[in-house]
Amino acid sequence: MRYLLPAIISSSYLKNLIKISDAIQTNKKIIFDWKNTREIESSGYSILSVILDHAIEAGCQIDSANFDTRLYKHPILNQKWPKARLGEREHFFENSRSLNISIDGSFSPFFATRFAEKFHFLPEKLIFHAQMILNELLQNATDHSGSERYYLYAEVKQHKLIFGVLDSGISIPAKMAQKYEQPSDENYIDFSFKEGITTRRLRKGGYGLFHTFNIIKDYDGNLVILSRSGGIRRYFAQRKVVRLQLDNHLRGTWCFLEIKSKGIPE
Amino acid sequence: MKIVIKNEFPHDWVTRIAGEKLRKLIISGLVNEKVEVEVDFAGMTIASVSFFDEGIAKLAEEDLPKDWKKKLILSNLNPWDKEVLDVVTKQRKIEVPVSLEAKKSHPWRICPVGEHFVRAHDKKSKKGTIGHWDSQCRKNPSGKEIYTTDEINKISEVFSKTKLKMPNLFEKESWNRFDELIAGWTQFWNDTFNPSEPLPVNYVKALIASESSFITSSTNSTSKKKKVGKAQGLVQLTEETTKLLSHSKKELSDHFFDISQGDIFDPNVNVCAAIRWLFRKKEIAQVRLKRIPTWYEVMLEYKGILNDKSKEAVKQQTNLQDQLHKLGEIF
Repeated sequence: MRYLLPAIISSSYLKNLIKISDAIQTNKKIIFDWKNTREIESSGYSILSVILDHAIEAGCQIDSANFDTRLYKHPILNQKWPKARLGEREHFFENSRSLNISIDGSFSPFFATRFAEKFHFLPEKLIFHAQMILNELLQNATDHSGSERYYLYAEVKQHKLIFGVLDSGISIPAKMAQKYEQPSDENYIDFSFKEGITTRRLRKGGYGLFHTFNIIKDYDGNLVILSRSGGIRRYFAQRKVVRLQLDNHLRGTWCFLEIKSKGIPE
Repeated sequence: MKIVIKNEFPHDWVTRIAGEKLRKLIISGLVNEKVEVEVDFAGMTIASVSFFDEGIAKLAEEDLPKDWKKKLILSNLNPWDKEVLDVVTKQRKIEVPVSLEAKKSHPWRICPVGEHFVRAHDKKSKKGTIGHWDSQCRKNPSGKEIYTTDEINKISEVFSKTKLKMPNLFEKESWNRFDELIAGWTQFWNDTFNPSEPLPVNYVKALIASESSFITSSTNSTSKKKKVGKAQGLVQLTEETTKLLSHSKKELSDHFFDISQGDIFDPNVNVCAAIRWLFRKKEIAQVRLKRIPTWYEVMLEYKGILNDKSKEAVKQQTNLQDQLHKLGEIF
């Protein structure tokens, strides 16, 4: 099977990437066609990291066609098809404006700390709030998904701070379905916002994500959460929620965020 | 009991699990050990609602002694984290009126316990670039109290704005010009050591009159004991005493001075160090006399003439008594 990758690999062009992520589960070999691809954003690197790990686990080999060597930056694109699962180090990537990290197992505040060091040129309060959001999202993910690995990214671009957390563990609908009944996966995700704002069941908590959403709202931000076959795109300032129905099945949960603020460079 | 977040939570200072651990540590101090608990956030950015909620705000749901809020001190919390803590405690509709001040050995001190003050300065690196360092408090490896010239000057700025118990006046006006320093440092060390009988401020002023006649540059090298070196400044601190006040010597157990021999002529440093030395002399006199000495006896010990019946000693005693009389002290 040959898959044409989007011109920009990022959280903005997800349809094809989710399709590939799903196809990996049922194919022994697929080919990435890079013909149109001219840019990979930080979120794109994390998505590729997830897909690569899925492929190795599913025993699906990925070959490349028309690969532009100018994209040859991230270690995951810089080697032959790996025989075994790559380590955390191979998923690490950073340039002057972006940072990608994968964390194995449990919660670690390392990414938020590294984020503050790397983006020291941003306003102090913004750094602090971004750290809070990252900590909360990762904590929520480690609490509910039980994923073996978490993928985090951050990038400064066009006066926006773009960051997110991806995992390949138990999805939000699967977790919510243990206790509630909803007609679709997007309903489950939307419901998870309303119902205590969290799927966390290990300990009583709940204020973390509530505050996180208030902060995103203050920064005129938006949040996209995709999980299993559904998704939610939430524009906090406009109080607008768009429900997304995915054509393909996504393993785990992908969470993408954008916030705007004075002091974020182009 | 001090909980240093940086040491206690090196890998996770964010999650509810970590917050729960903090809450248990605080409860252990307040309930089991029944002591004051300081949570030190120095050098940390927490950036977590969950940690504060679980670690601090939920203390309100615990069965704690009535006065627990007075016994909990949160120190060195950065302002953004303080905002988060305020929001979290309000959300749970509880008040945790914790002090966010770092615990200090005296409220006038600039640095918290176990740290010393370093003023803003430029420093040249090995590569030749010049970096600027803001004023800051740095940890003392010993964890003891160390006073630098910079902090001594800062503390005197603080007490200059405070209402102090001033000494009585000498007729000679120029002898009253250091009254504020005398009053401030006497109160500072009385507060710090909390003796059963506080050091009277007039005694310090009389001591200075008898030692240097308030001449700040006074140097006296007439001591028979050559090893003590020259007596210097307002209260005639000897070179040897200046060394004994430092951390490198074993003379003091705490409240050390990190000052240069040159700084000792600064009236502020001289008076501060001399009064600290008087409190050490009080301990020495107590051993000699096998009872708690009077402050007059401590003055004699300071001069090295306690139990000395020599002509010179009697002359010095008389001079000190005269100065005390002039200040209206009867003993």
